[in-house]
Amino acid sequence: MIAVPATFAWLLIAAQSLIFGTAAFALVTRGLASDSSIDFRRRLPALWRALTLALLVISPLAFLEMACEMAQTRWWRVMPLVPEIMRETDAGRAWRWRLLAVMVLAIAAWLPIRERTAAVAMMLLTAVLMLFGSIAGHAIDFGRLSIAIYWVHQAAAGLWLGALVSLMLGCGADPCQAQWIRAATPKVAALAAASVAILTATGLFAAYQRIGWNLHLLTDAMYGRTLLWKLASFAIVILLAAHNRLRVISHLDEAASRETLLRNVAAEIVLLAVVLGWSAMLANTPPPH
Amino acid sequence: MRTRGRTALTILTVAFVLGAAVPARAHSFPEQESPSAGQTLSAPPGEVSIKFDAPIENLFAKIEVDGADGKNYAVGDPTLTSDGRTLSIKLGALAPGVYTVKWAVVCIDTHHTNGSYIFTVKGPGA
Ligand code: HEM
Repeated sequence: MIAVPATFAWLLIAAQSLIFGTAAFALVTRGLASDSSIDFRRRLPALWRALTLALLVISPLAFLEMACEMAQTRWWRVMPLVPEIMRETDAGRAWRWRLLAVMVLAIAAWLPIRERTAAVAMMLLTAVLMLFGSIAGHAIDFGRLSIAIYWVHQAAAGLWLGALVSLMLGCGADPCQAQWIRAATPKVAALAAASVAILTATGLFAAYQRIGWNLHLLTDAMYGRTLLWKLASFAIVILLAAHNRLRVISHLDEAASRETLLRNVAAEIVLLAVVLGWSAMLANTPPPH
Repeated sequence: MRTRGRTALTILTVAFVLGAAVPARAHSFPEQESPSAGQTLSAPPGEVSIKFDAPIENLFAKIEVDGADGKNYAVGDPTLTSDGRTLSIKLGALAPGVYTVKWAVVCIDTHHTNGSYIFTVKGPGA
């Protein structure tokens, strides 16, 4: 039954991707006029605090679920094994560092530090979380290069999602909203395009390692079918993103286009959350034999 | 736009060239057994060892060798080589007969796999 661990994994990757991506976007848009980005900068710390609290609660539960899968037992029976799992298994050791990084992240989110320092800290600490996530997953079967590529895949996902959520987050009342959309959208579009290229290359690489050219596994194995669902959801986001890029972005001076853009961006965020859900399922499904 | 397209294509090509070096594999299934699955031996083996296709966790590695009487003839704890891939267990004195090796392991990627196979020890003059 992978529903419970996959749900935990989904919440974890969504939270850490969002913190990573919004922190990166805060750094990328530092040069923008302060009156246009005022709402974005005001709302960021609250978002980070809420997400780090979520990570603080879900991470130990996700670790326990993984321990249950390894020991093939229930939560209450796995408890006495936790110290041994953390000491003696690769995934347990990775989780020890991951839990520590989550605690540091939560503290950093509540410290009254300068905005730029906070953004750098959030980015670095979530990058560390992604690294330990890569080490405690399928990528470890294929060596260091695969772990690095898996990390890049997760980082690109975070950049894309974070840029889209940042755009929504910065929308307060007009005229600030119009200024923010006009200033931030080109940066969102550039980040999204780069992320899509990186996600496609690294995602296909990871898929090839797990499935090879055995294309029948795409339909015959649970892992392959999940991957197909993920690709289908990804294709819909791409269509929506392409529509925004080709039809909407060039008319941002018109209020109606800005409204359309925000509506489409909200839909893209929901669809990307679905893609993250499929990714979490993949991470919890044994690759086919 | 053209440069961006070219960069994406380069990344894809590099990924596939690198990927070609590490083809798809399954995780923690036996690659080689000793005695091998289905083998008939003229003398009883002193140990059973299984080489897996990916490293496994020592903490959760289990292996037993059951005779037709249902008794486990494995002696002591299983040992794992330093690369984490070969699991062995010493055996007590095996009488002629059919033995079933049952294994259960956890791959370092946390997934659980198990399985079994048989080998036969021939009696003297059989
Ligand atoms: C061509 C497109 C894509 C392909 C072929 C692809 C494929 C994959 C594969 C094979 C994995 C490894 C799962 C495993 O066995 O552990 C993975 C993980 C992941 N993918 Fe993708 N992916 C693609 C696009 C995306 C997109 C658009 C996103 C989100 C924006 C995304 C987010 C992730 C994340 C966050 C993980 C890590 C999951 C975890 O460790 O919990 N991927 N992807």
